Amino acid sequence: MTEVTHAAHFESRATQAHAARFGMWIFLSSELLLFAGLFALYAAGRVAHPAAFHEGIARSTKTIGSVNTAILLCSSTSVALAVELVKRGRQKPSAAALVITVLLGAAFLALKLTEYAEHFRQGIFPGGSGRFFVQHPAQGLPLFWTLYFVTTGLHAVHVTVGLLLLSLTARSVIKGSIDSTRAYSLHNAALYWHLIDLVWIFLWPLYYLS
Amino acid sequence: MAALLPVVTRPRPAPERHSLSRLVLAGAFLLALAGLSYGVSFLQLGSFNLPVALAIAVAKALTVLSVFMDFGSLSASAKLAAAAALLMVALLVGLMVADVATRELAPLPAPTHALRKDDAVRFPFFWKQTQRWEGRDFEVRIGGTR
Repeated sequence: MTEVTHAAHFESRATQAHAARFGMWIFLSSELLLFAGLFALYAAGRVAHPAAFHEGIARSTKTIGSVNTAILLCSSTSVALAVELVKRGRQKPSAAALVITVLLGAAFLALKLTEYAEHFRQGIFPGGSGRFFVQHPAQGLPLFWTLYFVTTGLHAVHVTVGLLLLSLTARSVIKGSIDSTRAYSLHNAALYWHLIDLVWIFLWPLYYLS
Repeated sequence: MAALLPVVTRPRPAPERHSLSRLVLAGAFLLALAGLSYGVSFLQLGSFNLPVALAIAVAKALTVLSVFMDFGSLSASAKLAAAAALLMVALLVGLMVADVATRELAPLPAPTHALRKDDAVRFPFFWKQTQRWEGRDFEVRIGGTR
């Protein structure tokens, strides 16, 4: 009895892997366009209210945002290592790299929540509500902070989904249902995580640095 | 029957394995770029701060795309999907910025010949030199002729 390594409707495992990868890149492209709308709003808002956006950035939690950048970059590296390790048939080190990635992602979310708590404490809420906006009535500030909450919130939702995906994938690697012959499913999960990293790479300078 | 079906072209072979040290080096390079971006944010470069930060972000994104996401080994169809998305992003952001940047504020006051006694004109106040809104509206009420 021969082992089935691909779905019945595919000619071979290579064809299935190709389809999975192609489909994933189309999905990633649609995700990029979802965030692009928010980046476009940011660009328009910044052109219309440059002073208010500078003031908003000056009040952002730069240290936490920067630590989170380092965390996400490290997590992207560890998930890339997990993919390469499973391709070499080294499941245990691959699973360990995935667990590290999940822990880093969880740390990112925890810091993000700390940041939100700090903003709420200062009276900064989405939609321009809160005592901060009464004390600082400059036009454009409510737009900056609303975009901040919506964009980083959407990103945090993606991080959460990515964490679930990587946790399930790690379990499959540990159980042996993902091995060197089925590395493409882990590769796709890793691609999703890299997209999360890519989006943050641009969010960080726009909302925290300059 | 099988002879009548079109020939199915085989997909590219699976991408080659990369050395683990290359991935670790890419990670270290990304952290170094992030450190550079953090450091540059403390310099007073005026209007250059943002372009410099975005240029470093683009360098980081290209590193992630080429090393971690293995963009180079993608099939032409997948590359086309990604390129189309990038083109759409550029069009969306570019045209939106062009729209906002070239808008002109409506001249004030509104057509004065249409104003009658006791009409009120409300307007915001924008300081052009500092690019700052006053933050509250002002109101002028039309009085009677002397």
